[in-house]
Amino acid sequence: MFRILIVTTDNEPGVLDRVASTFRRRGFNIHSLTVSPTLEPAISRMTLVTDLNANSKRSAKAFLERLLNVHSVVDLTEVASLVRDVALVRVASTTENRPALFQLAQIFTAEILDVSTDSVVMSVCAGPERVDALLEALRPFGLLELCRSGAVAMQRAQTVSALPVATDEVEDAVSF
Amino acid sequence: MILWECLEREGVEVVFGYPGGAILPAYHAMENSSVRHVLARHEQGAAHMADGYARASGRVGVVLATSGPGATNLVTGLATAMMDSVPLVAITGQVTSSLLGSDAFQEVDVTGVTLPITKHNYLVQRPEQIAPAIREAFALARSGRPGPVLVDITKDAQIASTVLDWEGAFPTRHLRHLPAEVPKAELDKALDMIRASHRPLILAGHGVTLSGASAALLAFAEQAKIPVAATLLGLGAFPAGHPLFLGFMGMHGSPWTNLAIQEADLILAFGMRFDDRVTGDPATFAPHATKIHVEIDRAEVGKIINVDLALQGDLRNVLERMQPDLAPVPSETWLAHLEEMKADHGPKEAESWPPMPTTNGLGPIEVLRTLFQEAPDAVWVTDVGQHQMWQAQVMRHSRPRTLITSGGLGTMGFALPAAIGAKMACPEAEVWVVAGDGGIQMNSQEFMTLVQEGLKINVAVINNGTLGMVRQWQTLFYDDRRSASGLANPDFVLLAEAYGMKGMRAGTLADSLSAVQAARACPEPVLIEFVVDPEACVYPIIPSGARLQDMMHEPNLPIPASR
Repeated sequence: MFRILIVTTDNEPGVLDRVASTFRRRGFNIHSLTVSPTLEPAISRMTLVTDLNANSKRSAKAFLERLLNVHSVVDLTEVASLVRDVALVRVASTTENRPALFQLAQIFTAEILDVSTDSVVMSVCAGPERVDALLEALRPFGLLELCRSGAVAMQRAQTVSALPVATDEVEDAVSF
Repeated sequence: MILWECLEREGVEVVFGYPGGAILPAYHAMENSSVRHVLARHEQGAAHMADGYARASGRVGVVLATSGPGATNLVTGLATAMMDSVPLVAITGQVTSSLLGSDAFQEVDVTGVTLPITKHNYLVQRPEQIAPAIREAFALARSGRPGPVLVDITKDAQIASTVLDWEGAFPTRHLRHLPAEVPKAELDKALDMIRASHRPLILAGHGVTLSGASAALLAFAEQAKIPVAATLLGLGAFPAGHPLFLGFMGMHGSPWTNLAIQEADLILAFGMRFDDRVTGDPATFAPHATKIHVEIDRAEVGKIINVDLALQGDLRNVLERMQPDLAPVPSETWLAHLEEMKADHGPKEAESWPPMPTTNGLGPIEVLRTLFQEAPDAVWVTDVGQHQMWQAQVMRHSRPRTLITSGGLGTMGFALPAAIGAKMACPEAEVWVVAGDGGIQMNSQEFMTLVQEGLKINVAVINNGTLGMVRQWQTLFYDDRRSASGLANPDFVLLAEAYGMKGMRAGTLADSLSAVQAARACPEPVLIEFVVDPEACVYPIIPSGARLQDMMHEPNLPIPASR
């Protein structure tokens, strides 16, 4: 089962190595990992997606929390969270099927970034499942190249959100 | 260079090391320092010396080495300290910062190599980073679950001058993951569980010594009337002669101790980590027991054995706070039962277990018994293998820090250098090395360090002409095919004399006794070679991964089916 861990760390050289090493030595795979500075420049935030059972997850979290450079580890798997993944995808296309592609892009609120005689590049920013769904819808056209950012995630506010919740966001929280 | 002033301010009196190119500026600056330097003959030896110093004293051990091969030679020592939670600070020289990553002469990515075997490490490239790194390294090595920390300092950072800002280097990050005091409500839960038990058992690990909880444990066990079993590194944390002391547990533990674990209805795991040498098959470990784990390192909780209650915090603090509300457990029947089990394995006298097997020549168990009878108050520093297990069975360690041994990593070659460190830490103590003929040769160059430093240490080499534990496993589990386990050995008496020590040899029990007595009376360091039966095995043995009750007590027994 995929799990999302939010790891806040010191923003200094070698921290990524220490975090990754915690997984490597136990043979745990990292599915995706994004790192960026936070509002506090001295602190980095990692969104780490990993495929672990509950017990391995518990130990991975504990081993991460043992690192000097780690401030906190939060498991977003079992709480309501907002997850986004950016994908750039190059799809084979002909002048004939281009309208169909554009239609799909519209349905998935993907942006067309580049159009050439034999391909189209589009970008989508959505929950990982929705990105997967778009890719499946595009597959019959011929997928030529794919680049995904990996998940970034944030916990949903504890209070009821004032904004209407899109259905795919709720699904993300459950399925991921 | 401010390194030495930093070390002095940390209270360092002695460092162990070996100079070389990239650490030369630091050695150059050492001249003006009050810190004593012990020159090892190999950096691995220096690391074990610092380790032995830390284990014997409870203070942080410090080791210095140069870049590249100097630093990689520390690796085994750091891993040994990491596994056994020993506070160590290693300082290594590194090539000039402009050359980092260029495969410069004697360059190794030391922070990369040592990342998984240190609590933390630092690459220091500027002189003003030295003090913060050193202060934090010491704070981290000591705090929480102790361990080794490495500070790699580039040559240019050693050379450039800077003003020491000690206050500005005040460390705080090491506090991040220290647990808060265990809440009273959690302690009350533990007390309720203890109150409800009839067959409670304390498992005492290295954490008892590390947290200074020996006295608290004694008071706790006595007040609640709960028996105590010890892991290898827990030996000495509870007085071995005490009526509540059950014995050594695990693969080569006493049968009644292992059976007690399997019959207990409450396990109180104090500062121990359920190593596989202790649990055997974890799925069948202590099947009837509710389990309480008191442990400072959260990562150890639930790692191997699921527990019913985890108290994450300092053991001594937990025990001292629980004690006022601790009532005696109705454990009379249980204690009587344990006594009966003990009696099944021989008369009540201390010397009846482990049984001395019929031997061809001098029996190793007799040698260890003789050693301990003659020097019961010594600090014993052992190597790894059969002699290590026999001493754990035979010697009745009764004070913390009087048994120094490599438990988790099982590092052969540990004993001699670690004993040098222990003697430096406790100059008044009688210090004995016990090592096999294999292990003593792994760091025998350190005999010269011992002599150069003028230390009175006695060395018992239990020579069976073989890698005994390897040979035992080959006999029991590998069709007795003795691949590469036989050793041709130097003349150990001549070897000792070549280094300027006194050498003796004993092949009978009478000779052994007189040699031990002569060695103790001799002001010079003495090596005694005990020529023992090469076929002796350590019994009982629980085959790796078997249940604790599946002990093999004698040679040639079939391996239990559950293995």
